[in-house]
Amino acid sequence: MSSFFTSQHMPCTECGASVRVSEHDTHTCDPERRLEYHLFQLRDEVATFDDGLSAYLASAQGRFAQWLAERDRPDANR
Amino acid sequence: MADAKKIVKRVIEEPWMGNWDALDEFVAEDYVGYDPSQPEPIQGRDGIRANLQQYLDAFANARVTVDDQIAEGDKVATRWTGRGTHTGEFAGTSATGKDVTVSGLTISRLVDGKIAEEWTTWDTLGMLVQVGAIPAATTA
Repeated sequence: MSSFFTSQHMPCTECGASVRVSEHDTHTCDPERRLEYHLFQLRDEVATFDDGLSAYLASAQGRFAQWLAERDRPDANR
Repeated sequence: MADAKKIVKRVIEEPWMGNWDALDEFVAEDYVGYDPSQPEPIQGRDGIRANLQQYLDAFANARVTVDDQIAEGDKVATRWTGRGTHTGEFAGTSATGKDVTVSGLTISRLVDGKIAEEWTTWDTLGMLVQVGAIPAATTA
């Protein structure tokens, strides 16, 4: 695809905030907005994390990992 | 023409804040709107609702604010800025979480205190570039 146009405003690549192109060099990301933006990019992974973890724990490999973790867990009474 | 400006300002800004009553109050039943981004003229209040809803569905916290207005005769010219966060599919582009800012101009013709006709042009290309539907130019 060819590129031929730049908008007066463009989203910051780090935080997604709409920034005037002329102010991109002086723009400082708001940490909260940056976190929000990165979490949004990971939303599909976050949404499927619980299901993925449950499926893993139910698998043979997951059950073994749980058994191993249980075996290696320091004895709380020791 | 102060009232005409206020009427147009309310109709342009308030639906984005959830106040659709402004349309019933200040838009004529036989309203027609012309917007180059729409294949057909926007017909009536329901047409306005449907047009705005597609942006409200795709952009969280979508807002339009009026920057300037000029009135003459039965017409009001309004310069406005739209902002929102791209959180839903738009123009075939999946949500990006990016904030967008676009500007536009609307000329409204009023009849008996209601908007009967409007002509709008806005930065559709800029919107598509900002959400990544069209690649932005790179500087060498």
